[in-house]
Amino acid sequence: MKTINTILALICIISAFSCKSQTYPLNTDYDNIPNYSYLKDLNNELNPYIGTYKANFQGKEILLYVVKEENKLVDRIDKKFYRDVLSIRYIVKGPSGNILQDTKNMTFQSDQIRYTIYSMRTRPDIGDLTLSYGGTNCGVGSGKIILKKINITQISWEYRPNDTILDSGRCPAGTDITIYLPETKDLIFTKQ
Amino acid sequence: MNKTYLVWFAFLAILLLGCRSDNFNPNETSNQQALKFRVVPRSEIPQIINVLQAKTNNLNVPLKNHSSAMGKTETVFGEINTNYIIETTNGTDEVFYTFPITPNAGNDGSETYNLVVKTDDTDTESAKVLVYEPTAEWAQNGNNDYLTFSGTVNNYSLDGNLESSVSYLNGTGNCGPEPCPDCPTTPTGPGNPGGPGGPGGGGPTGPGTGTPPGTGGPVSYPGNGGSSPGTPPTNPPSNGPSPGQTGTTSGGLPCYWTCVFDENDQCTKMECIEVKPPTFTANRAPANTCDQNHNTNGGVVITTQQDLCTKSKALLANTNIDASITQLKNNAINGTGEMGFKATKAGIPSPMINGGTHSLDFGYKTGYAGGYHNHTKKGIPMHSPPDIDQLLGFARAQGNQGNLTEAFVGMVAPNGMHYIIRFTGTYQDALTNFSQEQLDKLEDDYRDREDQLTSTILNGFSYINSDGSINNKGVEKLLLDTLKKMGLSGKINLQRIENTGIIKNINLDSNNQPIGVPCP
Repeated sequence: MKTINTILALICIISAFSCKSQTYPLNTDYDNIPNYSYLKDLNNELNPYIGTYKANFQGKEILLYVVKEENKLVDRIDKKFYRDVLSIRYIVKGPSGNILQDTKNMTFQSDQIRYTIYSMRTRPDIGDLTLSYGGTNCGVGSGKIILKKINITQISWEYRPNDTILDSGRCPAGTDITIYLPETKDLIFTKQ
Repeated sequence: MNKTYLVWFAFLAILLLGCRSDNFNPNETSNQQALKFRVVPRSEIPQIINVLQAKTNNLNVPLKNHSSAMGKTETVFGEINTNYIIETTNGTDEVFYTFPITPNAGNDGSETYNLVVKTDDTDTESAKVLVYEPTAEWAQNGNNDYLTFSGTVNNYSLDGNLESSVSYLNGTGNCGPEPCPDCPTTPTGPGNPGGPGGPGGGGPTGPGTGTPPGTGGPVSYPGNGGSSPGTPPTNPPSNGPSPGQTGTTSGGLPCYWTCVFDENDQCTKMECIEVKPPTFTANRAPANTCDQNHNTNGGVVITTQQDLCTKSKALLANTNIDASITQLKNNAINGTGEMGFKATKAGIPSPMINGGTHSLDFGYKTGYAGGYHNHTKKGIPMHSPPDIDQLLGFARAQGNQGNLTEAFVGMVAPNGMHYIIRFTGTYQDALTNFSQEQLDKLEDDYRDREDQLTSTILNGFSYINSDGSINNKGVEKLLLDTLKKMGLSGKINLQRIENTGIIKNINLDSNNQPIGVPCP
């Protein structure tokens, strides 16, 4: 009886270890990893960006709230994997202090893409970080954001929105598709 | 009482069903106008084929005059296709044979050319070239129903002389005096279009063989004989056939030689690409009621489904479309947002549609084959998943009885990149429906993959230009990989339009890398 219990315990331990996702460095090509692998920030490259930042652009005030989410599930059409990411929520205020867009206080579903900003990978050779923005209403303005750490209190911002074709069936006329994030390069954000 | 109603209902249903216009199946007989149709192989009518070969220049006939880009008047020739022949009998001694004619150049895709040979009990044959020139309205909305044809049908002799011209409105001919005094000028003579290739030029297996035999599948050189090892490739490689020359695959199928360009646009390899036979469709012809003596209409019109290269060549050669694309290119470079236009099957562009800074709505698609738009300076210079979804919308707009391969979406970017995606699938494929959530996921993956392709740590400099931006190879891989993820591989074709005007079909090679094959 004791032997059987030992074997069962061993099987459980082996199963637990075999079920654990395989871990890879953060910048690994995700096409070449098994499902449910983990792209981990092994060198803590994301940590220096964590914090709250502020910048002004064309009369608007932009506040970025940058946090790190570990082991976040990335759920794609043909692949699922975990990745350590930076998540950015933001508030954009108009000249009179009125709030134009606020994603900080939005409730996101775990697999939500619209309005979200999640980091994709670091580029150590360039010294920056790339992020994917899901766009505003109807997905307009979805694109790439590039952040570069300048010093301990400042980061540089570049936003490259992609172009899209809308379908009135999915995006009814009259929907606010204004892009509120600053569409520019070399905008300096200062840590608060 | 109820039984009486049922009988009346059944009677009315039979009447209504009897009024339906069924699609014409040439393999079956038809009792309309007491005509009977069947597809005949050329081997069954050797005498007709021999007469045609004798009366034409190796089955090539003059079709019309065409103004070249240099302002010169050139005669357009067409080749009589003998792979699809329809025989029509009408209960008398008369028998008609209808052949499709494929223009060699200068056709904008709106006209249809057929050859009709009539024989009777005297064993004499008369052959006429019929040119169907539809009105723009019919080309757009006629749905290829020639029984309601609106336009002009010109009747030419084999040597290119206009013999009659009948204008049609909704299938009814206007039987005025023919030919009209201001009819199109007749071609200036048959001439010699050059013919499809010919012997000469050495193949990879040695000079003098004309059409080089292959070793399996499409043949190519250098690679399986032909050039000496270590010899740097020339442009195109020497000691082999020239681009455009016809050849034969190892399976005995006709093919044409074409350059395969490397990433530096150098022609380093030649491949003999199989000639895909055009697809033909038989349609009932409008009744020829004007002149029974000129009854050369065999009751059928054979239309040719153009290949993707021909379609895009015709689209880009259309001066109206070209002007609109030029406007988009200017907007991509100097404008502040997205613009676009739609185009009908006949190549008529819609008014320019002004979009937002990074978005555009084509609006309704009914009556349109496709649309063109520009991308802006900061975005990815390639069709995105929503663009692909729009192409499915244009395909669906052709209807399940329409020619879905008319559907396209074009894109021009500020950096000069210019791509067209064309639908090649079935109506069922076009019904593929993506939810907003799926499109969001696909777009997220699209952005991540673009970032991955341009990462020098992961991919070196394979997919980037010297300034770090994604290059042609990168965006092509991105699009083709995205099509795979959308389950649309092989159902949507990607074409690159180079600044020189050369069109290349982009496919993935065995190493999953994009390769461009120039259109012949």
